[in-house]
Amino acid sequence: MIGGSHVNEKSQEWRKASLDRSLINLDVKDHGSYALVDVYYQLFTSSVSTAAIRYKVHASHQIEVEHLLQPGNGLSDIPEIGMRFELDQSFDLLTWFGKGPHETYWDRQKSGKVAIHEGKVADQLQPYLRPQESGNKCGGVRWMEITDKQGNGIKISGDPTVEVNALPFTPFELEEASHHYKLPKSDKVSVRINGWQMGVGGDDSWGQPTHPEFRMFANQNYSYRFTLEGLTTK
Amino acid sequence: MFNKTKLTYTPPENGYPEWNNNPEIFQLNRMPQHALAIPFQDHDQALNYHNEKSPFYKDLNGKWKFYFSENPDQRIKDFYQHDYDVSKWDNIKVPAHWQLEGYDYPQYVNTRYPWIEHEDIQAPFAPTNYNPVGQYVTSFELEDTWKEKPVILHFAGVEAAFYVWLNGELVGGYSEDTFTPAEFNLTPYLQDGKNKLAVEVYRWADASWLEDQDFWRMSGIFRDVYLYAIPELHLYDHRIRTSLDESYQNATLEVQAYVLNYFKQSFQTSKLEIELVSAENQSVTKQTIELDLYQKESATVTITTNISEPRQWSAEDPYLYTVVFTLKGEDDQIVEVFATKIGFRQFEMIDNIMHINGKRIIFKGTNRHEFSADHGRAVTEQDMIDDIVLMKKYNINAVRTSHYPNHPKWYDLCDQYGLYVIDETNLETHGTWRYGQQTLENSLPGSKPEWTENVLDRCKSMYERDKNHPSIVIWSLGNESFGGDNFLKMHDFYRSEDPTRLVHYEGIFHYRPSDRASDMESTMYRSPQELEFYANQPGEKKPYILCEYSHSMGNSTGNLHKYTELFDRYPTLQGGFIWDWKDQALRHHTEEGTEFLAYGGDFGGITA
Repeated sequence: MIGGSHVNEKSQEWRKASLDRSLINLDVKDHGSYALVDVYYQLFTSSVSTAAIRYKVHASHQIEVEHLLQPGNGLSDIPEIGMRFELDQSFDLLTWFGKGPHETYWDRQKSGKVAIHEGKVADQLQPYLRPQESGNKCGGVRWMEITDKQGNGIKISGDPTVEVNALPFTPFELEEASHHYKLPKSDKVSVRINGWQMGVGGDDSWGQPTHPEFRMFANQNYSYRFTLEGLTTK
Repeated sequence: MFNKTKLTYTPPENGYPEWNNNPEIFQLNRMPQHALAIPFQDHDQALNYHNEKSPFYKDLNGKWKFYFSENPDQRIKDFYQHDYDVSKWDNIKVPAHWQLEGYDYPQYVNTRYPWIEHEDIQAPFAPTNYNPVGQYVTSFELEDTWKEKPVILHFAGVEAAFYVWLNGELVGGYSEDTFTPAEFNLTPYLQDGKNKLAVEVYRWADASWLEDQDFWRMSGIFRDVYLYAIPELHLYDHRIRTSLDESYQNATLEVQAYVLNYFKQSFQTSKLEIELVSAENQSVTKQTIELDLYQKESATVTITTNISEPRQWSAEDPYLYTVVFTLKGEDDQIVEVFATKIGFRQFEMIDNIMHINGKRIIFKGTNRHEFSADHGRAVTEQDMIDDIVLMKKYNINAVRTSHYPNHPKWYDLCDQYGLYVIDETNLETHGTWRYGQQTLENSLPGSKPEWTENVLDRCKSMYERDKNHPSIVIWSLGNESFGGDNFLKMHDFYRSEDPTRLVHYEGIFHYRPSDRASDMESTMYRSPQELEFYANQPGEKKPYILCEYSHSMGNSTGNLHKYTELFDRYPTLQGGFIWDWKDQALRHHTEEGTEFLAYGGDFGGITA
């Protein structure tokens, strides 16, 4: 989003940090029925932040994930706290238990109905005139399954809830394109499992920031948890 | 009132043409503004409302001949002459913007005047270096049944100023105000057989200083053009008002009719029958009034009727009755029938709160630019239906016609589907002032006397055309045009003509000496805290609306619920109008043929 309250400029250190982290420590411990993988990253925000992620990998193919973010001192607002990965484009079907069927954001979710909703990944990108962030499932997603036509795929379960966003493009691709036809041909599903994403705001679109209760200030730690589980029809 | 002889043309005294440096001249020989009424021959025809099926109606839309010049000097000066051959000219679609038909270019500009990249001029001068002129020619023949009848030429919307010739003679035809109708009496100029109609449209005139709306700047004949014939007796204008009694149960229906006897025929007897019919086609009342038209050109009659417990019109229950006017001449012979829909509703201020039918109103509104990706402002009826059906699905109950009078059909749909309308005068001068200035400086129209008649004419044109729609509850003086005495005069015009509606103008927020110009406090894009501060101020105060808020372009419209919660909590906060209904984007193609939606800047030029 260009313009607005210039979050893209004010909080650009967080964008940079998301692309440029440094692995400090990786610790793996075998506990028999599960293994614990503890990962520590440094994020090069203007004062260094830390991300600690614990993966509890069960023999039963479930992975519990706990993500702790410790912002450095005096940093800008955090637009989004979460993890992103990519799936093959064949995993194009979404089923989720949470608000929907349309996109929901922290400060725009009153019309979302909590239910089991279904959708296609391609349809999550809204035809806003300029390609931009869209298709979010706001806080309150109990679980989401991302599958192919046969039902193979992945299940994300919040502990208790998360935000999920699955789009055919990465946020970086979206911000590059001035029109939809300028987007690259999609070859993936970009999945973001977030603790939080800031609200969209909108009192005006040339200065008013998102209201404070829908923003993440960098003066506290943030943690959230979810579970990943493989789905297979075999 | 009606000029029945040919115009004796006198050029403007200052040596400039009508369109340049003559803000006081905004029309030449134009017919008086009035509520539109296409006559029919019988009752059933009239109730079907298909104007094109009336024997008195002739559609002139279609392919016209067209010649484009980049400035007035390059136009073909004698193109309107009977013997000037236009057969080699291009064809162009009418109605349409010429920018979407291959000429000139669509330009998106917000506050700055659109000619600024070509020419540095001051009001009231119009650009002359780059100021495209579109010359249009068509021809028509009249049915034999029209031969003895007066014929009126109707333009529903032309941007921005134009002249009209018929058969080589200037019909007088000059008109400004892009968004209201211009009608001309063709009767003295008609001839047997083929009639040559020539129209010369200027992209910008001096009055374009009043039309600096934040939108795609596009020109030409963009709304319908048609002819209609006037029968021996004709309902030229009508005004229908309803009011409810103190208990909001019974109503008074007041019908005023202006009947024209164009040829001053000596009717021994003539009468007007006025019938009120329910939506279920049941006759509610019927009254007949004798007209005194013996050797008179016109008669104005008013009928007031008490209606017992009518079903009331509101956005929730847009129940419409029909008023059928039947004009009868000698021996009770039907001369003309016209039907129009009305609603019984009372909009009023009670203890500084706006009420509809005795209840407090909350505007859950949106601003709407009249726009489609394929036709720009030359919208079709289907475009309008698509918009209004979607609005109703989203529980929108109000629309502001930002920032100009819309296509007449839009108001019919608002009556029918149920939307409260703020009908906005065609006035925006955002490029003549800046936020924070304390005095009028060079803002337009300000208190400048040379613009007074021009802006009042815009008010009158909108008021007369739209006055009978139950959906319209508020007249707006325009958008982002600062303040000044001209706004007080506009306010007074609407209030004195129309006691059944209120007046809105947001500009007083920027210039408090003009505070009286608005019956309500109105702001744009204020925060929920600021609204709450207003609501908690002690003492008498005007009701408050947000004529624009929650800038909803792209992924936005966050925390809207905070506003709606305030509207529910504080009676003085009476709602708002989201900016805006849909994107102003034009369907376009890349050089490789890929279709895309183009937005401001995609065709080059400034956008701010």
